[in-house]
Amino acid sequence: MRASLAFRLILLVGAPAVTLFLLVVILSSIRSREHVMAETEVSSLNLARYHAQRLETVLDRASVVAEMIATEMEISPKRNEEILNRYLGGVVASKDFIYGSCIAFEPFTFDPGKELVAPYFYWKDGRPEFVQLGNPEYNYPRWDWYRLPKQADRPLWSEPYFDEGGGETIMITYSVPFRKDGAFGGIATIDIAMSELTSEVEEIRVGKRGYAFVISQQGRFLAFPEKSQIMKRSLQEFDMALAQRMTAGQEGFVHARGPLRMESVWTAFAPIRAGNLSLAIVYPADEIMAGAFRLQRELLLLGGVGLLALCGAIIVIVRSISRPISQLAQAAQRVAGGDLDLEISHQTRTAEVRHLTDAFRKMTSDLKRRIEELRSATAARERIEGELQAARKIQMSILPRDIPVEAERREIRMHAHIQPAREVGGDFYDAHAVDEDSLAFWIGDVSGKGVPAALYMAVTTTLVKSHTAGHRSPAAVLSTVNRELCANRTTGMFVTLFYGLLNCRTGALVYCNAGHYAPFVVSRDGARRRLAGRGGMALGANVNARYNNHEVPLQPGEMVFCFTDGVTEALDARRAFYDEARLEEVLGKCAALDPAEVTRCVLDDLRAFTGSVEQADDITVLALRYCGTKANAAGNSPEADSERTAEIAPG
Amino acid sequence: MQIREENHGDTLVTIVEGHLDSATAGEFETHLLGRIEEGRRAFVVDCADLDYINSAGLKAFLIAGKKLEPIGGRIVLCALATNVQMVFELTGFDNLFTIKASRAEALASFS
Repeated sequence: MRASLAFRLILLVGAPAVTLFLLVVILSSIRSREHVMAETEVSSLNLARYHAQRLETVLDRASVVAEMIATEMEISPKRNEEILNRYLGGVVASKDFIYGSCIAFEPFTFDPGKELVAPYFYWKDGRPEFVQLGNPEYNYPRWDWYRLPKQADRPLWSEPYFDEGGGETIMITYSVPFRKDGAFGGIATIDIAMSELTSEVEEIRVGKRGYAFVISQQGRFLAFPEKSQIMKRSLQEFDMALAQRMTAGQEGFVHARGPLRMESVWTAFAPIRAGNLSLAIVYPADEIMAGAFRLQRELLLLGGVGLLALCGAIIVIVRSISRPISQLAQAAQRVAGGDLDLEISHQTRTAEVRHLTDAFRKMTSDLKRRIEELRSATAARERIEGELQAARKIQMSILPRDIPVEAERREIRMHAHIQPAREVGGDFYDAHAVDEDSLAFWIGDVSGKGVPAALYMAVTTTLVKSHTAGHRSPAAVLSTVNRELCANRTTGMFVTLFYGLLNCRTGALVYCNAGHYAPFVVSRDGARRRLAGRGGMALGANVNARYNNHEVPLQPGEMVFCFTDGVTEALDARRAFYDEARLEEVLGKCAALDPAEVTRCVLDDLRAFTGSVEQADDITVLALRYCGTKANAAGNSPEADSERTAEIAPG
Repeated sequence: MQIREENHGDTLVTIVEGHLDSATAGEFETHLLGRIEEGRRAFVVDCADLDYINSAGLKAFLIAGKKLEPIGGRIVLCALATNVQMVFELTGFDNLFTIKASRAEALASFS
């Protein structure tokens, strides 16, 4: 299972695809969340800035009045208190957006005779009301709103405070110092009631549970959704870091602890420079995140679905490709197991798989054909071998095992043996009674071995046999046979032949030797001689060859021994020839024996000589003893009488 | 069995060494027939180093001789060892082929 094509492909293709896909989905979901957050940051910061700006505008407008008053004091001092009061009253009356205004002179600067001068006008019941703050009980020079700007020598906003008049109004004062004759002259102030401003802020709603608040330069809540906290609690109690940044006049968008519900929030804050205030818009974190996380979740979900679809697609595609391959693999295994008739029929669109299938089909059918060819070739070879065996039987049957019946004679004893080198050979012999008195016999050797030699041998021996009766002269027989062999023959085959005609009454032997080894004549006592005389050329070589006879008388008891070169040219393990000398010696030893035993004797000695060396050429031996008739039997050994019985020596 | 060759004008002198028997006669026969196919007509076969020949070897000579005869070619043998000479005499092939004692005589017989 692990190693299957489908599994591996799915793994190898699927793993990187899935990984990449997941990577992309996760990254893009993170990026989208960050994007939502960034968008939220921008928009909430803008909102904070907007509201801060609105407050700032109002406070600015009021602070300008104080600046104006201070400037007026510097460039157009009032001569007396009545003019001064009228002026201030006019200013306050014309500006209904300020709560009150006071001009406090540095002691003894307005009127050298008067220490404290500080007219104060404020709106009450819809009319400006006058109060003289320059009285010893109040003693304005010791108050912060006078003292601090005098020290700093620049306009200052006060920390918001509750109106002493008993209202719950939050006030803030802007104090502007002015100079007289090059020295500090006094402070012009503007009091602003902040209730309208703060109520505007308190109405800000963002999202479901978002809100806004304003803090003073010390961090106390000036506007807050929970009114009980106003002026009593400060931001430092809830989130020190945020309070520090806001009171420092910074703007930003940070994660903080919400002062309203002590929860995790995101806050956009912007400074209100006028008044040294700061405004913050608060978003519960989960609300902000909700949007971002929802988007991210959707993306992940989409990604998950897409991933499943991707996996499914990969599996389906891989399967569709690998199924034909695995089917082919199974089929291949079955064919390898021996089922050559298996049909591979499934279709596929993949070119390579189709090629593979086609090639496989072709190989299978080729294999089947080869096996068939091999089978029939083997059958053919077995047939040929069978036929060669049959041919050997036939050939052996051509050669007489026994003396042919018609040649059976009292006067002679004959034995021959042939041992072909292969199944069929080229050596041959025969004997044939020509007439009452005469026996024709011959031994021959076709050049070569095997089937060609065997065929040539069959032809030759048949030719010789056919002409035996017609001619009394061996030379004439051979001459005729030679001419017939040479006709229409362009092969290099030739045959050596020794042909003898024995007169069984007289013992006269007429012979013609056509290129064959001269036979031995062995007498009983072991004396040996050769039948000399060349009769002519080997048969089948030259159509014009001439042949002649030789004659020799045989004494009773003498034995003619014929052989082919398979005897004399047999090799032993040391590659030495058996040779005629050794043959002669063996013949001398068994000279007195029966022809059957003589041949056996020679063959045994030959086998002893060659040992295990493979036989190279056909081996043929023929022994013919002339026993003589009763008439000339004198000189025969006693065995001659027992030989008179017409015993035929089996071959 | 080794075969070497030397050219003497139109006559090809083929030197045979070793044994010409069933194992080697085929190669010798193919070689001679090949030369005849190329157009050579005059052959001197130097048998000075030929140790042994049997009927298979004789067959090679016979085939070559039969091929040359109709086209006016000739094979002359020379320097035959005694046992080789005997085989030729035995089979009567000494009348079929011209046999000279030395290569010089063999070459001379062509001119």
